[in-house]
Amino acid sequence: MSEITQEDRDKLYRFIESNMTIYDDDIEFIDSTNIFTSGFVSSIFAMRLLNFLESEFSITVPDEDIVIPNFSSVNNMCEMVSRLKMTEAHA
Amino acid sequence: MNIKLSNQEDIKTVSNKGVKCIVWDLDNTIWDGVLAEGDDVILKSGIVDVIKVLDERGIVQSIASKNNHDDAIDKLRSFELDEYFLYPQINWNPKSSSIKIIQEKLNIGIDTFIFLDDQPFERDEVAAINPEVECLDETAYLTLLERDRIANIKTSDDAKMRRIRYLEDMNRQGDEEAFEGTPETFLAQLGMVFKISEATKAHLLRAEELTVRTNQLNSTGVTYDMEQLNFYMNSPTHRLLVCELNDKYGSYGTIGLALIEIQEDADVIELLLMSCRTAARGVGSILLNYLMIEAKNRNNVLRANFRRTARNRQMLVTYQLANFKQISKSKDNHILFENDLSIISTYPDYIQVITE
Repeated sequence: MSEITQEDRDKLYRFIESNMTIYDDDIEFIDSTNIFTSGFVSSIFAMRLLNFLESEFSITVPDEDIVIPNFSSVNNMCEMVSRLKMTEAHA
Repeated sequence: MNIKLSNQEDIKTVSNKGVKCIVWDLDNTIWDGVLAEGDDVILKSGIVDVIKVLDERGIVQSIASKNNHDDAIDKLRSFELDEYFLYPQINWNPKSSSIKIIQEKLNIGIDTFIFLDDQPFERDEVAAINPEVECLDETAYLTLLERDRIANIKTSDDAKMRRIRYLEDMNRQGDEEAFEGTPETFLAQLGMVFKISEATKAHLLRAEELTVRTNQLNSTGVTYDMEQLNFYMNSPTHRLLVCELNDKYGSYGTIGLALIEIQEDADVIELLLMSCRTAARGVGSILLNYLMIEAKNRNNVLRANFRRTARNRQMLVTYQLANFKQISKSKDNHILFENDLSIISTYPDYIQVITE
């Protein structure tokens, strides 16, 4: 199940940190930080995040997976990515 | 018989959609003479009026010309026409590729383009690569304004400002590309002011135009005419809201629209749309956030009618990541969303929201 390497995780961190101001300085950003309750998530950030995940991990996130629980933390995003990679590999 | 068939095929490729952009050739089309051959070129009689009327009707214009770029721009400037053309493509590349670049820069459908050129070769080259572009010869400018695809367009006050707005956008884009820092930091220094207000009669033409022109950030793809919008505006069980956006570069004009039905226990969003020009500003989420707060104040839940199309993924993302859940989905991709309003964010710091 764990096709997501530490390197992938780091990339995802860096993407979120460089795209969301609220994580710039004082808020410590950890694996389980809930992005969607820590601040306003604009549709444009959401689209960028989606495009990043899809191009970085060569997946397509189907409509039914575009839900808050799947995007609310780095842990959850990694879980979704590895699940989608699995299903696409088997398809 | 064969000829008739091939004619019918030709007609099918060019749509009857309202024209949004005219692309002009220069030599022997806008002016008589060939600039690069040293001719003392002279503007075609009456062409300035045609260009100005098109501009006032909100139809944007550009250039696809094989010429020396700087010489051609200097000449246009001496005629005081340079400001009328957005993203002019003056180079030695095929005109089909010039038109493609203009289309990508303007972000409007290729089937809303007309191309004028005196050379049959150039018209054929464009038509072969971009069959949806209507290609006309140099004499067509005389009757351009009477063509159905142009004469039938209704023009709102917003449309008259379209070229100016594109010019402001070009400045924004340049600054944004040069900006270092997070996108949110860039947004913060734009000084954006987002105003949400009840629609009035003066908004109806623009509101109709938005339902017709907006595809990407449109929740249902349903178009409404002024009469229908007027009905909802006066209906005691509906609210028709319009949004305006301003920043330090100028006004984006009226760029958003929402139609809400107020039921006993629920507010229902019948239509939510945002002009594509604001897609990179995240204002769709802000309007949605406002509707969530309003419904919560009425102790209602918030539902939304949505129809998934090939082009409105961003709208689906906006809804679902704002905690809207699908409660039903029909075969024709019509979705009913519901939000229990247990999670409502505050507006982001980078934008000032004014409501009336």
